Amino acid sequence: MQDEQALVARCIKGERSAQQQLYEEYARQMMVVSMRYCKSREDAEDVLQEAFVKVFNSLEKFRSESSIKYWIKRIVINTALNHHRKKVYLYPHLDIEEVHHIGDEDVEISNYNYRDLLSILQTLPQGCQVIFNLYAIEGYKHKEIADMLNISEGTSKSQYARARSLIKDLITETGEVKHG
Amino acid sequence: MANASENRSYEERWRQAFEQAEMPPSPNVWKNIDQQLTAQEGGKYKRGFFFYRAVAAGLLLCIAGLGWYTITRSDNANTLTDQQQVGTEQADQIAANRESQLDKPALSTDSDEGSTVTEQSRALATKEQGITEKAEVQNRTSNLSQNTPDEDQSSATLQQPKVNDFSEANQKVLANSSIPILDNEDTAQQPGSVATRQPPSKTLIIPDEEVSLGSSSTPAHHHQIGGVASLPPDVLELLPPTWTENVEKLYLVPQYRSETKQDKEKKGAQFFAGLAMAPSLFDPNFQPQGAPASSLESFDVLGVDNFSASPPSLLANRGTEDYSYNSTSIEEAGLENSASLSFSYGVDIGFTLGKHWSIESGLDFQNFRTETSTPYTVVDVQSGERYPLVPANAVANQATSANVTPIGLPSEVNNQFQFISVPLQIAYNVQVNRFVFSLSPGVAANLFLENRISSDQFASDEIGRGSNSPFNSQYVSGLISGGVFYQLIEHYSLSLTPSYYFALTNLTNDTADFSSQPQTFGLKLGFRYTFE
Repeated sequence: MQDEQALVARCIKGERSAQQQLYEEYARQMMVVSMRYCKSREDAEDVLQEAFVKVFNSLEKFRSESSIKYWIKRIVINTALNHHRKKVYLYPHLDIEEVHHIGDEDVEISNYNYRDLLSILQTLPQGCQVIFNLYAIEGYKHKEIADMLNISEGTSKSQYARARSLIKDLITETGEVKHG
Repeated sequence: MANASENRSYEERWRQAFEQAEMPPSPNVWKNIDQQLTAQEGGKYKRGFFFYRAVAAGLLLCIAGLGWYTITRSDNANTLTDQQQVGTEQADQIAANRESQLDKPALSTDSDEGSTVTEQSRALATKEQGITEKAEVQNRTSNLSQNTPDEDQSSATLQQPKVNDFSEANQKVLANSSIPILDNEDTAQQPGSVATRQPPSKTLIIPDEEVSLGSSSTPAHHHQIGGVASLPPDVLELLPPTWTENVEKLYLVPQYRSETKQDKEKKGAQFFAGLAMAPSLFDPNFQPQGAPASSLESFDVLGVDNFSASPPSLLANRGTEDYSYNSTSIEEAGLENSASLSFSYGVDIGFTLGKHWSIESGLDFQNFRTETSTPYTVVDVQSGERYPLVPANAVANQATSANVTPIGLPSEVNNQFQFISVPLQIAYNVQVNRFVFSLSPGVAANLFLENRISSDQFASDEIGRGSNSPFNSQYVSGLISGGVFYQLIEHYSLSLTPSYYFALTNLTNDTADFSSQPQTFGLKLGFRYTFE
């Protein structure tokens, strides 16, 4: 913990070696986070790059109350959201009634590693992908997501339901392929 | 309930699947980050250097001006030296002529004395820079020129002036003399013409090195080289013989030579005008009014207090049903602005009131920049544009909980303010050689033009004047400035004047729930032209 604080302090001073050390410490984990919100590796690397620049520019504001890993993760997520924000506004959304017709059944995902799941997430429509990530993996509430993305809570719920439905279809298809 | 639990386990499985996931990014990512950070550091340097470059440019301008002035002055000095050389040669010629003309028994002196006159003429021409060359007329009063043989010695030096001695060439030299005082319009007379028109007995230059007035009642300052003694026409007739014995040279000069500093001080008001630019630091000095609220839910059009609500701690609130907005310092919501280097440009005018006082005014365009941060954005309900939310645009955008969105990482916001300022100052000036030191308090009427709010991530918002604006169309500030002016050449001065503006009235109006009493520090660089 003290090492981490010392590393952060050196980063704040602008020591490039310390900044590189911090980057290498978290870049691999954050790359996965970024990949979950993006459609391609190139996009994800752009987001990661932008996010880490923000991290180094904002480190003075980091308060040691929380883990630096979660602080960096929040920045990566926010950067990814900003990256796609305009697209998010245009998400087509389903009615609440329609939501009840989908997602009643779930599929087993334990057979899939994270790379497979990542591929599945990346095939989702942008809005579904973002909302599924925020709700299912990050753990935000629909109201929080609605506030973050400036959409209604209903839209968040419907997008999430649609995401689950699409994932189910995709897994079923790939499962059939997998199991011959 | 079972369904909810089942759903949670579904999401939990997804979460677990990515919990330890790692994926190496391309090595180029770090390279790009490194380059971007380096560029930003360079940008910071550049911003810092911009101010220093402006100061350096001002200094260079001063040095160039001084250099130009020095060179010009040197040229003038060379011209004068040449003219003096011509005058010396002509003095020799005149002396030679005299020698031949004085070759009469009654008025003649021996050749040694004649050569003494010549040498003294030459020596005087060399010594009396800027003075003797303008009045190289050796006048001798007619009274003195007609002395008896007893007065041979004095008559040798106080002979009747020969108008022809003042040759045309010499007159030309004198007429073309570039000494400023000769160009004075108040004295439209040419030295040569004056010398020939004026009664010779009225004005005398009496070089102190060569003249001893002995017990004469003439004031002491008239002993100085170039000093002028205005004597009555018949004074020489009344002078005792001892006086005339010591007089070796008498010079007729125009009366305007006696114009001194006192005359200049008697001149009327002098108008001046100039251009200036000022690197400045501006602080809008936003202050909250009223107690901060603790919930974003109370956001309304009057609620700048709502900015105190922090964005939800998104990760910390996972799993809780209610928002728990922490009440944090209001500085996080765009009230605290840090000044960025800004510039203002303008014209200055004024006029002097006597020796030390002057009234000054002008017109300045001020383009001030500050930086702040905000954890909120607001969406314009009509255009759909998303702006960074700061107190200034809360009213105009009707910020409510419906259209305000917290963002996880506070967004950096550029806050740009534009004003037209009309200062009115009274200045006390003290002149030391070419420098004028000035202290000038006053007031300034500041006309608000626009507040532009922008960030890299969101659209730019502009707050102008009008019913939706939280800003008054104008505010008044007091100001105090002090500085130094350097007179480069006649009429032209360079100035360096630090100034401090402090608001006397509020920039914000009643619709704003925050107050603003701006302060500005500027360092004005400019030049000024003084009209005669």
